[in-house]
Amino acid sequence: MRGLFPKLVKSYLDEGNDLFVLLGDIGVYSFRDIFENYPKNIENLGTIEQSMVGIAAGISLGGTIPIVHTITPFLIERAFEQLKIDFGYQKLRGNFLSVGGAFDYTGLGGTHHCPADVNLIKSIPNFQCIIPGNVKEFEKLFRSTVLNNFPTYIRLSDTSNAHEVDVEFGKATVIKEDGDLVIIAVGDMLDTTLEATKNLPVTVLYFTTLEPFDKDCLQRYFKSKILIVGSFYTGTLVNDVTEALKDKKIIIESIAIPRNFIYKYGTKEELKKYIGLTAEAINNKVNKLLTI
Amino acid sequence: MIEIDKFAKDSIISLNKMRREILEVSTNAKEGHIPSSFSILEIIYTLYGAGILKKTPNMNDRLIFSKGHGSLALYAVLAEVGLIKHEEFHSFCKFDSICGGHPDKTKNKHFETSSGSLGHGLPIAVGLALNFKRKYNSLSPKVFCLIGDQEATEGTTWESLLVASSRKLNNLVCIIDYNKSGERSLPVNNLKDIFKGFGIVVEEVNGHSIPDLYNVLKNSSFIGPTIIIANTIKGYGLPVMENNPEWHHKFPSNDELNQMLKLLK
Repeated sequence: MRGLFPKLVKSYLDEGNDLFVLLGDIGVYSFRDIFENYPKNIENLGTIEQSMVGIAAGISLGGTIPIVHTITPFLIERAFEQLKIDFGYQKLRGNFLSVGGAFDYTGLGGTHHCPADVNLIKSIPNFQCIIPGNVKEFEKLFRSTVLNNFPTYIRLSDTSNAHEVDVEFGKATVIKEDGDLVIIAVGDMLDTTLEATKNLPVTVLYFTTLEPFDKDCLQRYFKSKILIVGSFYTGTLVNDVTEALKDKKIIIESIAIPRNFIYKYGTKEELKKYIGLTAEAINNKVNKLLTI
Repeated sequence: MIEIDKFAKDSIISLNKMRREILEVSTNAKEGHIPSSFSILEIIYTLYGAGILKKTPNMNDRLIFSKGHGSLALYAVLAEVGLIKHEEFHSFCKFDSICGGHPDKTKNKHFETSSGSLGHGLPIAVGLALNFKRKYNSLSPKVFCLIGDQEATEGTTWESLLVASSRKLNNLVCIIDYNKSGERSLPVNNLKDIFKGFGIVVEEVNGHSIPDLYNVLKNSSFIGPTIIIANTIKGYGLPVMENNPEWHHKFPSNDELNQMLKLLK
């Protein structure tokens, strides 16, 4: 996804769109084409994340659409109040693309993890929130939102689903329909979810847009049980589910990231195994839910 | 061209009138920061009343009002120059009012930003100036930003000034309402030298003198990013309030109000 990002932005600049890229000293080399061809539309502002988001707000006030890019926790957690007030409260448009997913930088430790990003962004009213599952989905979702009038967060990750889905911004996609257990599979967790539920009677709804949350789709397919599978803190999206299914009795479970700091390094697969974000864990949970 | 000496002379009456209006509005609402507003009244009135801020079809200078605590002064001046209605000002902090304890960008086009949380305005002003400079170069509108000296301690101030200096934002003018609010926490004695160390043009002015403010504001910018340290007195105009922290967020009784109004006749 990171490879496509600068090319996508350049294609918009080539078409004459007034965009302004702000980099937090991340991915600078990969944006060299834009630095060369559109030097007035890009700045590397270094490590001033809070001010960088504020500066983006000023750029937005001046009629230009900003695109801000740095590592997830520094963009979302460090600059949270600027995202909340400067963009959310003031109703400004802008695009915020993180890199590093929830914990892609496994070797760099917990300071580079950010499983709270979705919860934080979704706490800001009208802030669009997207987790694409692969590069094609990223392109389509970026194109759907980059020029619109809302602030948008897109989480980029180095994990990609092989499974191809024709996603649509703001809509969930029905991957399969069977039985009374609905699985909400989010972004990069789709492949793992499908592997875990092969031949099992479950309905899989694939979500890449988390805000706005597609309540209609969930209401249509809900029967009695829900399992949320995502690379974010456990409990994320529970409020969306309960809001969508008011007055319904729901059995709801999650396979997600436990609310603990992770004091381990290693590979992403090792970390996923350590925290139970695996096909095996999903399979066990699904089998348990199917017996209820 | 404005005759500044005449404007300054005439403004004595206007400033007293606005101070009285601020007192009445704030007392009525039991809300707002009167001394903070009195501290910046001359600055805001010079910007809007003396024609420093260009608001024409061809030039739309901006004021990023980061010092939101002084909102009463902003509303009083906007009402005085006819950009909002006096009735709107007098509805201060009522449920449906456009005028809150801090300005809200979504309520009126003349409130350029929503403020209240400190340290947000200067980065926004830098972003505006950066964008205008690349679009319009020497024909860029000016971007003014008003912050307090206490607010200047926020990390975003220093981050933003690094950008302003590095990118030579000569269309940016940051005015610091230097009423010494920061002295009870983190006093800085050599603020001027510190700013100069950033490669920024620094001016110092009596923040209650309309002619002095006019001269420095009129000639500011297009030489480099500029900081104007406006030496002010918190609560200026009413001896009981001047530099008296008791009044920071306090409202006069009816008797006190009447005495204060008489002093401002």
